[in-house]
Amino acid sequence: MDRNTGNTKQSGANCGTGVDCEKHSDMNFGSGVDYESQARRLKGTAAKLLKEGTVTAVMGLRENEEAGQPTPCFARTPEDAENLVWNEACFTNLANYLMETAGKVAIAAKPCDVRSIINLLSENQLKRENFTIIGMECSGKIKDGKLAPGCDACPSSIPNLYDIAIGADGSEAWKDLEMANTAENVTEWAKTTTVDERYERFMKEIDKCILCFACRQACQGCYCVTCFIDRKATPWEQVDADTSTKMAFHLTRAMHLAGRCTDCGACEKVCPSGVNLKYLFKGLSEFIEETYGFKAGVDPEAVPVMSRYSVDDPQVAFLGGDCIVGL
Amino acid sequence: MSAYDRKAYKMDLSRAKASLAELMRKYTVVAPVMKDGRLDYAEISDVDDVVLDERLPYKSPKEVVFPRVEDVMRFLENRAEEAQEIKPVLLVGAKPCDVSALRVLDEIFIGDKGRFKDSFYQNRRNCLTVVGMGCQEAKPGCFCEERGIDPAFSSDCDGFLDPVDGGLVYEPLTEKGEGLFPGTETEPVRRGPEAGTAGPKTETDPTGEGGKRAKKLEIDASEAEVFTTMPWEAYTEGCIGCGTCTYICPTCHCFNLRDAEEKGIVTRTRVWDSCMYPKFTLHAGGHNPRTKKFERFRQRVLHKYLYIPENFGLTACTGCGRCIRSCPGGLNIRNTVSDIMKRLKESKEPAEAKKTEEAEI
Repeated sequence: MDRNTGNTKQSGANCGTGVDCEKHSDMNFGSGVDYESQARRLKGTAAKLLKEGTVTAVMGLRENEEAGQPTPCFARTPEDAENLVWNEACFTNLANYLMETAGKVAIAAKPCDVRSIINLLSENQLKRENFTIIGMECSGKIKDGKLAPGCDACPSSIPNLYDIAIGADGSEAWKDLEMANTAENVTEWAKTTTVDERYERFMKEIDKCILCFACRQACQGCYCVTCFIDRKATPWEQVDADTSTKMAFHLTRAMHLAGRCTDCGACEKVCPSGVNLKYLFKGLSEFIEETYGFKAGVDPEAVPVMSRYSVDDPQVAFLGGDCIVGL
Repeated sequence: MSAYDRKAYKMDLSRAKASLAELMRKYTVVAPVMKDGRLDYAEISDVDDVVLDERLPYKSPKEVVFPRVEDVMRFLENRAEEAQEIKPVLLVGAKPCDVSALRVLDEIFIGDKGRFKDSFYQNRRNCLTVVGMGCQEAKPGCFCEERGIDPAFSSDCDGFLDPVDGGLVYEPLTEKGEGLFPGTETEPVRRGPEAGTAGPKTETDPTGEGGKRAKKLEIDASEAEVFTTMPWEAYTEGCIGCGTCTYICPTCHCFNLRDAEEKGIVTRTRVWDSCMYPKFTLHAGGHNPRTKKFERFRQRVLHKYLYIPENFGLTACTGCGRCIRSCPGGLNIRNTVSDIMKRLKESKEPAEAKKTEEAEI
């Protein structure tokens, strides 16, 4: 807002970062979704659940002008339900909050939230009977005038696990919308670049990192009670408190999330420094899918890929194998 | 500082940039630059990158005096030496909230009320020259005026730049700031209600404190009145425990010291730490007094609004709004403090009403 004129109109558009929205107007994101109807139905559903006493809280998002994006909201009374919002900027993954809530709750979950929930269920971190999933159909969210991180690789507009369905038009039926699918193929990129080029990309990104660990905190898969990087006197902390720690942190975190990352993009969405390292995780996901035919966050009954072994497993990931992840 | 002989110098933008280029020989110049579509304070290598306007950069400039990672000592076989490497730094285009934050850090690290003087901070502060600039961009979440800070002017710097038609007016405010930007001598830019800008309210009150906005955001209570009585858990509901707020804050200054050995030399490094991490308060014996997120957020709020005011005599929040804008969980220190103020007022009102009643009887 201009302090002198009180004028709130920004040049360009409302993306907030100075990105000229007209540039993005040709992008066809979030199309086919009637947010108003969805929001109305979400509020109604939440109020009903709270009134009936089926749940003690409904987790969703509320408007937050100051943060510039909707932020988490825990509706506890039918009146609170009115605060819930649902629009193109609702990109926050709420799955993490399920790990902390006591009692029965309901969660307004997009396909990526649900993938995260499925991963947590398959790792025995959540009890299915403790929460109700209000599945929200979504064809991609917008952050800073662009498709939000993760949305470019989202496979489907329909959550693959839900109790209550809220389709794109606000009805109970899914629309099965067309997805952007514009994400880079990291495996292809890794095959066609040199070691130096890949190293340069990685270093350019971690150069921005301030080691605040927001990515870890926002990640559904990072729930270790004590993260490896927080253990004192680790050898990689010894030499250089900066670059080597950053390398150790990001590379190890990526390895720890192999076959567990659900491509929700929460890590990039919360980064205060604009570090774009999701490609590492995506590359690993592609590798796991290609090698073991497993995709995290699809089937809650499936045994996590890193928790099972078969003699028929391809051996490429072992030492001496011809592994071309090469990130 | 208000007694400083008020002279100012007018120059056009190219002259200002030429001066900056000259200054770059003598100083490491840190100024707002546009990088990846985001305005941020950064060391500049090309004067043309500098954005000399009245917009608030994304992160705070505290790294000029308090780097994220800094070697402070080295222990060799039979002796120890200081390991700090310092160059003179010129911070140009610092916004009033960030300049006030430097005053807070000064008070904490090297102020008279403190029990210790941090020599590493002192060394960097001595080598720092600050040229301020006004801020005309109230971003969502900004509340500097409620914290008594004037967004148009700050006298806590060595010199101040004001954009005017056809260039800039530079006003030196200390000896350090003398002669940095030469130009044609002119009147200092007038700030104040008659000039149509929110300026220092009176000449005798250069800090702008006690200005027209009487409703200042602060906690006027004892710890006992707020520690357990306020709904801290509700304030903290959305917190994911990431610590971004502390890293992006211009006054957060907690650090950790780490000793690391390499090739027989032990280096002691000071690195940023954050009270929002559970391990921050983990004791050697295994006890942790702040295991819950609400306890950590409470510490952050009360440290800024209660403990530092008690110990150093000033509130350690400048209202820059950075933590509010960058919080993924939607935590809001401004709303939290104003809610506390409201609750305190409500709890006091009935008591006062009762007192009057009793007096009447």
